[in-house]
Amino acid sequence: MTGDPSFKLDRPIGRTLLLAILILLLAMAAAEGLARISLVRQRLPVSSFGNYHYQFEIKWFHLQRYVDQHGGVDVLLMGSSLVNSGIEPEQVNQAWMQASGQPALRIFNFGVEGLTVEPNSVLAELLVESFHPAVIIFGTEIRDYAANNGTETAQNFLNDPWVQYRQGQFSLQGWLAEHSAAYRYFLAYRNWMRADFAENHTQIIRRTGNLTSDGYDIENRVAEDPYRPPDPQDPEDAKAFEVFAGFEFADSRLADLESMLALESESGIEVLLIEMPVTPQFFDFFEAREAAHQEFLQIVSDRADAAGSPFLPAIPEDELPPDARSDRVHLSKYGAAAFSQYLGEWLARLFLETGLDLRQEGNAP
Amino acid sequence: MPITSFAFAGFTLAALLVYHRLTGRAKQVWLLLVSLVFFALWDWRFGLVLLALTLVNYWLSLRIASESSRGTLWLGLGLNLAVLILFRDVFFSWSAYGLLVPIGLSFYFVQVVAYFVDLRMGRMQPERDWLHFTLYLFYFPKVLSGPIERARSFIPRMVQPQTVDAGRVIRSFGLVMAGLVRKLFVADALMALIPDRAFVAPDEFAGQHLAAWLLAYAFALYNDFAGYTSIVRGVSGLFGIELSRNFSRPYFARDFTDFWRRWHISLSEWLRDYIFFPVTRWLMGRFRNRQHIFNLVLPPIITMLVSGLWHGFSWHMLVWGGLHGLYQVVERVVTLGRPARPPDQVPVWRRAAAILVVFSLTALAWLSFRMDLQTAWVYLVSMLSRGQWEAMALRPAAADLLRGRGILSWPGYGLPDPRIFLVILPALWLDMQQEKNGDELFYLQWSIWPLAGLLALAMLLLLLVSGADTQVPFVYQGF
Repeated sequence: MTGDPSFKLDRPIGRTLLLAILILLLAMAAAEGLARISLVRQRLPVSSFGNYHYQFEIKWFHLQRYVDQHGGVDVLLMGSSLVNSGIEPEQVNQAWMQASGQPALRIFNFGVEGLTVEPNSVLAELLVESFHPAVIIFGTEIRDYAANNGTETAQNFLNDPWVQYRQGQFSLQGWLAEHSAAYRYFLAYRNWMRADFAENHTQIIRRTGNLTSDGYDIENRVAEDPYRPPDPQDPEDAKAFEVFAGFEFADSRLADLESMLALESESGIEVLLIEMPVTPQFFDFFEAREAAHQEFLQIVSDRADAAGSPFLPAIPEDELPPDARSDRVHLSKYGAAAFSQYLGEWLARLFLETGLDLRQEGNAP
Repeated sequence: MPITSFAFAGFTLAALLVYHRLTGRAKQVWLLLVSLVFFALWDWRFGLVLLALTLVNYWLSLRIASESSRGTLWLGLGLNLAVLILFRDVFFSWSAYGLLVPIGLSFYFVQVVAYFVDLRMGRMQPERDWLHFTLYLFYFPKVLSGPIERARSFIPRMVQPQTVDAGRVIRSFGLVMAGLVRKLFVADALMALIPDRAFVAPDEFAGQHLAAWLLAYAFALYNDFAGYTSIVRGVSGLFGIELSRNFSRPYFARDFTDFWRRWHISLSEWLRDYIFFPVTRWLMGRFRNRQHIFNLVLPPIITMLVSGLWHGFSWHMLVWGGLHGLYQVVERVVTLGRPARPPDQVPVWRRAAAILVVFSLTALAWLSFRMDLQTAWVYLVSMLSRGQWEAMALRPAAADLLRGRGILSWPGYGLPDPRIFLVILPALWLDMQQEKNGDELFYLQWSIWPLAGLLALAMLLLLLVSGADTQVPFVYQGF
């Protein structure tokens, strides 16, 4: 361009710009140093990967703290909100110790609201890579396999630059989110200028505070009548009827389940499947009703058998206490306690009958 | 392709690389090609409509210049007005962003009107070169939202661009950076700080919040448009083509005539030359006394009503224009008996009070600019009613803040959002320095270290807003 008469640089330019960039880089380096000081970490409790799903981030950073405190994690409970508020690790441990006579396991609840088997299959890989648990217990139910259920949440989660970076697709944002503590703080405050920022940020802090140290999200509410049949006139129920009309098991979702089960052979960890208990009336949303449930049990147990993974069907409804439910599909804290007991006893049986190793390497009793 | 995007930066850079390798007419051919591609990226179908209209306007302009009757002039004005109303106010509203997006149509319209009238008045010869005529209307840095340029001064600048030397590159870069900070850091942040429902159901909120959000909106609107103009002037400067200034610290205006000399200058000058002066001349022909009530009242009222209609054929825009007309009428009547003194003879406190009054009345008028009349009225009443103001717990808020707690708890204390005032600060500082130095690029006179520090700060501010989940389109892009 310099040879053209309409563009003539008569003196060098760009020194100021270079200097400004240098100042900025120095400021960023200082911010990175600050972000790694423990005092700052205590003052700024929330950091972020920039993921759309803030509850996932709460759980991830909570698990990091758990691992820092306990030196690792043996068992990760994964699944949707049904797992999040439906399994109490402490209660699982109590039942496990009582039934097996073994010392406590380090169990963490990584159930995340709205995540079906599709994002969970990817998340499981990330968790195994980062935290090396001995066992993943995936809590599943029939909605995981409806092609039109939870798709938007899944896409938002999976299209996140950090998730993609962790899966091998390089991006500057993903790299920074993985490696820079200052950037993760920046991401936590990235929406500082939104009208709803204070509200959202406070909610994140509150929800983090509500979790037990092992990731359990206590559900105090108890549903008045969780066993009432669905009503097509009720707007919420009508939506569910629409989602599950013509329900079929989506091949892609079953492939996601298989990919999660394959972690057993690929990463040397144990993958166990459990059915999360929903009310019998929930299957009224499906045309085939209870037959759909039976088909679900058959398909999932076949997949588990093929992969050599144990599968635990849901606790029978009559073994749950009367105040066990917070709605048709979620358990209250009372239901969670009963289901956790049921799960802990099953783990003990597996250990005693098959010698299944539930402990992370280096955490032998 | 938003002009604050990296895609636009790449597009401009590619256009510049080729442009500066070309000579003579090839430069204009290239610029037109680039401009048409830029327009097509927004909406190629509307681009075709506007291109066809430009062909017709070109033919009409040659007829207007050669005919003795006014028939073609009226035909041209009527045709362009019909296209404006049809595409901007009828089709666009019907289709709700569906059918065609009338990008830049209001700006296109006033430029064509000025051109036709100037031809008719013999102020200029018609542009016989179709390439120059089309490029004048489609030149990509100004096609979206101006500045509104007059053909008689712009076409020569475009045909014979100035040499882009180091000084011009630096000035252009300075304009672009200032524009980006105004748009992305100040305007977008302020817009995002206003809850969606504030302008829909204002009676749901306390008066102090409504007042703070109106302040936020006033500064957001100004910085949005001033930021846009600054960016496109910087971009155009890199092609050696100067674009007119549009803003000159409008919120430092001491009266409303002063305000309109500082706010959207290219439109104000257009309104002055093509509405205000002709109306005044016409009235003076009938009522020779300058102080006749019609001579005092009608020119500003009619001019500002036209301004309102230019922004949109709606009652609330008409009221917005009418309010500004009314402000000017009151000002004219008041100054009849007491002529205005030169600013340096007015005490500082009175100058400050005048600035505050003009700003407050301007901000109130923005209500009807932003929302329909009924909502604007509810907003005004809710904001000004004593009963609508909630108690503000200032002491507990300050105590919590000093203890390092509760920095995010201002809604609980009934306090207006403090971020609004923090975001306004950089824009206010920029305006104050420009006003003090009388130079919009005053910082280019600084030595290298403070300038580099300022540039680093500007980049930091842009980084701070880069991760947010929302980006707001330019407000004036809708006109």
